[in-house]
Amino acid sequence: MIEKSVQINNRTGLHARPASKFVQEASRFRCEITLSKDGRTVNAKSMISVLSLGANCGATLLIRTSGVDEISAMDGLVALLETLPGEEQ
Amino acid sequence: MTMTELVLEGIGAAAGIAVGPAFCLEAPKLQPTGEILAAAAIAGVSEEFLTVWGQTVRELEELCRRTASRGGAEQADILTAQISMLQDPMWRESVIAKITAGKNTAWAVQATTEELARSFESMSDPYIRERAADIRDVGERLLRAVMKVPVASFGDLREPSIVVAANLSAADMAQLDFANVLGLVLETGSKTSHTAIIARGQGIAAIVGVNGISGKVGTGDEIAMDGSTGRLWVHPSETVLYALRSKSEQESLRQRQCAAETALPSQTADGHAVILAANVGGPADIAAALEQGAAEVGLFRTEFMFLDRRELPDVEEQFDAYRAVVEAMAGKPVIVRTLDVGGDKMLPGITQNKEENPFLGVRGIRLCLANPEVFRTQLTAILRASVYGRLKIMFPMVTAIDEIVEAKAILQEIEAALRAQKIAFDPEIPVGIMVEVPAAALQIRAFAPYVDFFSIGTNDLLQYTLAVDRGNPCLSALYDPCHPAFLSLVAQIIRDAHAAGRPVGMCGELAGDPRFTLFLLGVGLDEFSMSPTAIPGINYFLRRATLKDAQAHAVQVLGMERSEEIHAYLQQSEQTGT
Repeated sequence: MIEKSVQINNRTGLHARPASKFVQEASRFRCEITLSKDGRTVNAKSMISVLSLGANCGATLLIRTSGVDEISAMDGLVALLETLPGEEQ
Repeated sequence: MTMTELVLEGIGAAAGIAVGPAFCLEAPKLQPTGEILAAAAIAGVSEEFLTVWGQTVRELEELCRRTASRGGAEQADILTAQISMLQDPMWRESVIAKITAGKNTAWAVQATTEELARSFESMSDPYIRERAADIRDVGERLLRAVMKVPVASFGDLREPSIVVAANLSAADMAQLDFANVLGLVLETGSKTSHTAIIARGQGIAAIVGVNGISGKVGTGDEIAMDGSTGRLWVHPSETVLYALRSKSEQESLRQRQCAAETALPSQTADGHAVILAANVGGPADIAAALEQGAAEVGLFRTEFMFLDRRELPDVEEQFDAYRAVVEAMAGKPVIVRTLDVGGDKMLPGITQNKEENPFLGVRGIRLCLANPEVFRTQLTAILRASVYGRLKIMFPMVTAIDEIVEAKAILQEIEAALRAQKIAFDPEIPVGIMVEVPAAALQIRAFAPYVDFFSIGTNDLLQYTLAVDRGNPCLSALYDPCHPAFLSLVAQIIRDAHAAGRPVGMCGELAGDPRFTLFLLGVGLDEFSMSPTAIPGINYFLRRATLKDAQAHAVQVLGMERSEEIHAYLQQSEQTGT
């Protein structure tokens, strides 16, 4: 199992389209993936659960991956969160 | 026969006046029965549900593709998120669990929708609470498919009408033929609901949250609506129609006049000329900017090339983009702002991930000076593009003279290198800074010898002056450009820059807000840079103002001590033009 904490830095947070992208990326991997925020842990492959975290801009999320492809899953998800588009000035 | 006029109030969600026949979208009530399944039927029913679920997902995906290909990006985004929700294993697991316990499919779907929607409604974050509406949208679609009730159909909408419905899902909106929609009236919804956002995007009047509308109007009834006030009339009287018509005529007359005057000089009635410029994000925006009458590009945001990708653009790619913009402007000046990330715009590998206060962190020029290679690449590309038109360089987030000195030293090194390689560039390229931090605003006279021009970035200057995070919804009331401290700071920047012989532009939102045009004219702003669509309206306004009145107006504003007083005065002045 590996874990890593990531800060959400795009302006709109992990909502709607960014969340959808994130869940799609998570679903590509076989390992178990969870997201935790403020002590709540949810399945990262579930759109509804991910949305329910309410990860706004600035929120810190803990990603845990556990299973055969845990390393590539972590790399993929962290890269995706770091490149979420921001909004124009 | 004269029908009795009925006046209803809702929330004005998209401005505009519409008069026409109602088209009521009949939403058959979906009432699942309490039927209990026989044990032997359960496996078959579960199987059948999964098939219907799969079809519903595919239908939504197809609708999303069609919407995206029609250019409805915003709608497609909403649908994409809804598809992900429907694909969530929680839907299937919860419905199948209920079927396994003997409940019929329709009942199971409705109960699951309620459970999921309620779990969102119990959250404290208003944004998350609104997602309950998405859950219900998706749940209703699934329920219709299960009960074999056709989805809302606009098949009979054959003449321009005002569409009246209890609610419209994002999927319903995607199927709407907007050519036949004069306006939208909904029983539910808020200003921020999808329907409202899409209506504004389509330029269609919309009123939402009209309680009990469904029972009070039938298809074919005449309706008049004013989307800016949220008021509507069923069987409107002649008096109402007359008033609305004249309001609508005034608005469209003004729009036509604005459009007709885009080619006329941007100067006041007493001959004081200012520059109206456009804020652009890339070559694709130039056509619109020129069409709306932009005399310059006052802000070319270069971030577009850097964001949402894994590798940074090289010199060639940046050069192509800068050259495309400056060539399309055909000799008109273009102010290129160097990379402005950090704060809320992140770049992997470059921006700091763990800043306590990103807006007070490594952003703007600080980030470029900390990553000289990225900065050099961009400056090289800008200099090489400078021979194809009139480029100017602008550094963001400057707080100290040393930053300007250091940035210009790097620029000179690159110029020397280009000279050595016999690559052409504009040796006189003007260099300016954004004034978006109070530290810079208070040092204009000291900065002036080092720069050719200043440009006020109002969004950041406001948040730093008032110590209000502009993205924090809890503080939105405090993020107020009418704060006297902010307006006097703007006046001071311009006065100090002019005393030192430097022109001042403005490229934040204020420059395109007609409420502030008179004030900004009065304090002597030289260049107003805004989103292209705002240019005709500002031009229209300033062509009817005089510098003399504007100066008197600015003196009045600067003498006021409270935001509310300034708000009221600006509003009154915008309407009367003085």
